[in-house]
Amino acid sequence: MTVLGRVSGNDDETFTFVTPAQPPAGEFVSFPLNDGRTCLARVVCSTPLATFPNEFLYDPFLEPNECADFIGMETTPFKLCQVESKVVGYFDEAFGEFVDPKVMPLPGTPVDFASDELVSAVNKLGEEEPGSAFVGNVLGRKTLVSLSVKDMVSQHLSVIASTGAGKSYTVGVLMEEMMSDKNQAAILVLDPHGEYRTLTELANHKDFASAKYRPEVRVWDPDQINIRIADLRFSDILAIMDDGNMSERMIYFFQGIYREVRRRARADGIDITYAALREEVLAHCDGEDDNAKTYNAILWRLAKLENPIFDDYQHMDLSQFFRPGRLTVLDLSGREEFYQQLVATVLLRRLFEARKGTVTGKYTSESTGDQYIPYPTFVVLEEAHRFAPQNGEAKSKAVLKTILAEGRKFGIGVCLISQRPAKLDQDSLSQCMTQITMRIINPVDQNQVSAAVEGLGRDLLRELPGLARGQAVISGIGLNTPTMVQVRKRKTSHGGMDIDAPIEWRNYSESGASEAQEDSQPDVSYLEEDSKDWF
Amino acid sequence: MALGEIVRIESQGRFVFKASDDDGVKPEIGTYVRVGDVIGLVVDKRQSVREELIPYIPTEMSGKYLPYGDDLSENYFGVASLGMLSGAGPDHEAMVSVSLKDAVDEVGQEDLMRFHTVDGRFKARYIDRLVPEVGPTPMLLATRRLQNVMGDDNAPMILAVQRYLRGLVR
Repeated sequence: MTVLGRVSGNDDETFTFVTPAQPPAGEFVSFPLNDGRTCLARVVCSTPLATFPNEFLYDPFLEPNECADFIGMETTPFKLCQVESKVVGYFDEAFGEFVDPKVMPLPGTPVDFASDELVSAVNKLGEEEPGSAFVGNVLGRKTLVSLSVKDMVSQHLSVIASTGAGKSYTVGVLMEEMMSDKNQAAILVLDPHGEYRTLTELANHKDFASAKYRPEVRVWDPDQINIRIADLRFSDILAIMDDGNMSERMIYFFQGIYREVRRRARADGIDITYAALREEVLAHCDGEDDNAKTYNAILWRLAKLENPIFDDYQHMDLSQFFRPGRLTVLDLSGREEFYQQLVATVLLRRLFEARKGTVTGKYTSESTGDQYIPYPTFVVLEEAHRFAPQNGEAKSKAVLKTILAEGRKFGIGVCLISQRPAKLDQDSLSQCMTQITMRIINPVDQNQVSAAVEGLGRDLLRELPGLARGQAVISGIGLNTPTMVQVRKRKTSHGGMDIDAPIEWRNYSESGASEAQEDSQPDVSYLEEDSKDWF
Repeated sequence: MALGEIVRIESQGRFVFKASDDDGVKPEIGTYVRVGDVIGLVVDKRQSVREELIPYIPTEMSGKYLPYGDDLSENYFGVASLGMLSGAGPDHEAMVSVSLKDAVDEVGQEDLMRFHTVDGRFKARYIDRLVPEVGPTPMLLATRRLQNVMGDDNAPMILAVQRYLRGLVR
């Protein structure tokens, strides 16, 4: 057995050991327990055992070690590190998880780097096993890291990172894994920036297709996304109409109109339509009295439903969106935030009702419509703070919170992705039981993550600002213990890459397009002629 | 150059010598001395009783209370042993006993250099050991003497050590 160092002391939560090596924070080490088992621990931080007197460091050309040796100072402590470590536990084969040994190592106990075999126990599943998502390797090691897809889907996932830290890249890796033959997931991505379109490469990629299985990826362009009027509730329509100036009287009158139109539609067995609402309002617009003026004002506001996103008959068909082995990307780029929220609201509400109805037996394969969804689904919300903001209201927040709280029972998993966790509803974030946290620099965001993510200890939180692109701390139930991970390379192209402005500027100039643009400028010489008189 | 002779041995590494009565140069704190092969450093000047009490001691009792009472000036010097300098070279950790009446000489420049040259490099490895015992000031004063023999190459190092010792004085 090799020895990395020896335990020097401990407190309630951590122990320290002295070593000539300098293991990085997050590295796994191990020590023997009295019963012969090996206990895993994680390095919190390494500090030098002794520091040179500052005066030895004033002259940068002077070797401080020589100064210390000159006066007979013991120089060995300057070459040693005191490493603070946190006990993870011994791996219990029967439970399949790490168990806290409830004892700290005694002073003098040997500590070593944990074996790859022990570290691989951070995974609940092997990387090739069905139900696993191989996301990368333990930082600084070759040990592979695979998340439990079952736990991610049943108890939700969050991906939090500053811009440019690799969020969408990491989600792309997850999508690849979930869409592979071993998982064949049913996923919907709400994509406000149109950066997940490259996932279409999945369908023809040799690593994902097999004789029996080929993943399907469908991208819905912004103009293909419709909200059926009948899928909107009264409060939704009111939110669309009300620009903040609707009086109580107008709301009251419109409520009457809505009820009447809905009553008639139900009686006729048809859906409520914009045309029907407009017709009913119009019927009250004649005359010169105050009521007619109010109805005219309602009519003017109701016209907002003429936005092309709304349709009397076409709608988002759940059975088209969700199917095992199918990844649906809703490209919402170019849509106003309000409409993005509205799409999410309607979609999530219908999905929740459909899954709940399917699980409880209300909807069966015999049912008409698209509400029979007999398999779990996974919804990815990019820019989640738009859909569930911490402050302020969003139409989608309530239904999202319902799904996060109750989705487990009905097989709806949600992945919340955000670069501003401080702006993301804390309750929603805390419902995500697997967390992928990448580089976060903003202290406010760090505090929010700290408050919402139980599994992420203070020691790992401290590492977040220093993580490089593609490095992540994965915590929660998807793994057996929080682990620092280097995310693997994607097999499909990444759609969210930074624009290289200098290259694009140069390419534009070299293409000759610049001159062409100059030539196409309108002739304004006559203005110059006229302007002579002005001076 | 003879400075005086040992009048008291306080411990393995500490002794007191009385300066010669002649009007020769008196050692200062930080002066390197040698007693045979033993190299030491003057770390304090002293009298046997607290100076402020001396006027109150009756003359007939001065033989009892002032063993060095015939000379109230600071002619007694405490020395801390630093090590040995023999034909085999310097040894900064050796502790060799000295005896009463042994002559105490000042260390010459050449021996000072030999004593501080270990494996071809300049060392004063006794400093860190002695600072807790005698305080940083004698060591600081000693390094000023070392400056003269260490040469320009070692000047930055001695400067760093002096800064360090000055920091301890504060």
